[in-house]
Amino acid sequence: MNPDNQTLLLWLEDELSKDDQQRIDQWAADQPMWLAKREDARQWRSQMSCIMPSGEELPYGDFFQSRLLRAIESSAPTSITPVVSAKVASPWRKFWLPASVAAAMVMGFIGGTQWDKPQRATTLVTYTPAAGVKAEFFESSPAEGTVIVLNGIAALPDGFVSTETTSTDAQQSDRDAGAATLVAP
Amino acid sequence: MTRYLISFVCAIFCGSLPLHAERGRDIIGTVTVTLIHACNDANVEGLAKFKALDVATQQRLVKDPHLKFAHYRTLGADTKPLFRSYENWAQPMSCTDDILVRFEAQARPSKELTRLDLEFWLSHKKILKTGAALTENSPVYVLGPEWRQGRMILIISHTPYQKPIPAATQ
Repeated sequence: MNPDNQTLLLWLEDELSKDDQQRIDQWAADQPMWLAKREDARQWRSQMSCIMPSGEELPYGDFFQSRLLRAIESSAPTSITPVVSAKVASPWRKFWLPASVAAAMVMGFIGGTQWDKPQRATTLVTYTPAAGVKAEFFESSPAEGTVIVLNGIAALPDGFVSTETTSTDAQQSDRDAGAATLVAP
Repeated sequence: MTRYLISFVCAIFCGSLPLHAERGRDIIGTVTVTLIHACNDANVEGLAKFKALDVATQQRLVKDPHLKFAHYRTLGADTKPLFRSYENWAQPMSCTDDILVRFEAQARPSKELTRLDLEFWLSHKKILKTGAALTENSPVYVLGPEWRQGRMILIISHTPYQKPIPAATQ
């Protein structure tokens, strides 16, 4: 029975228990490819043991990063420090920095308020179901509103509103004079 | 235990239904529809009884070329509540239902803008349907049919409420 990959990896590293090791050795006896791989792995380990002392752990990432950081810090100031110090020393920088931050904040605030501000529609959907009637609309700045012009409606007869009702509405007109004012209370 | 829990949830759900239904009748503002007659002839028969339009509105109308006339008279006006999710009708001339405006809020009105579904009905026929955006001081003017040597103009204005009036308190 072929061993699984995990077992094979442990076998390559000589990490298996004694019984398992013998069992896989029996299997690998007629597997020259795997025998060659284990031999390579053993050679690599022996080489590494010659290079690294056995008691020392392998260096980890932080070690390299700290070394790199120290190298950058030691090499950077020679070219960069004079330029930065010149800028910091400039009195104009001290003046413009808070001013530009304040300007950016104000512009951001204004932009934000404009973004959410609802706008009157520049297009208006109109539907005129009656035959021959057409509607046009205009955003009228003089009248401060939207003007919809209905064309094609037949002229209403004079008696459309009867004389009696007219007089009644004349009285209502007096009452509603205040309501006709557009400026809201 | 599960049965009691289900009953409890159902009771809460059923109890909340009338509240949500009633919220649709909350008044979120008012809509005023003013019907005026505009003409260039000072002496039109039968119109002398009607009061002239207020000066401030006249000045606004005169400035627009489509609405510019020499004389404006108020034929009638009607102010009706704007419900949160119900339609309402305004009848500017109380004596006749030949001129009607149907309106309904399209969305929750903001301080600056209210979108309304508007319909203009003339002699029980729908003449115009539109969705208009109104601000507090920017009405919609509808230049309507010709009548008595002039034209009828509808002015539809809106006053939003800062705080809606709940249906329960009406």
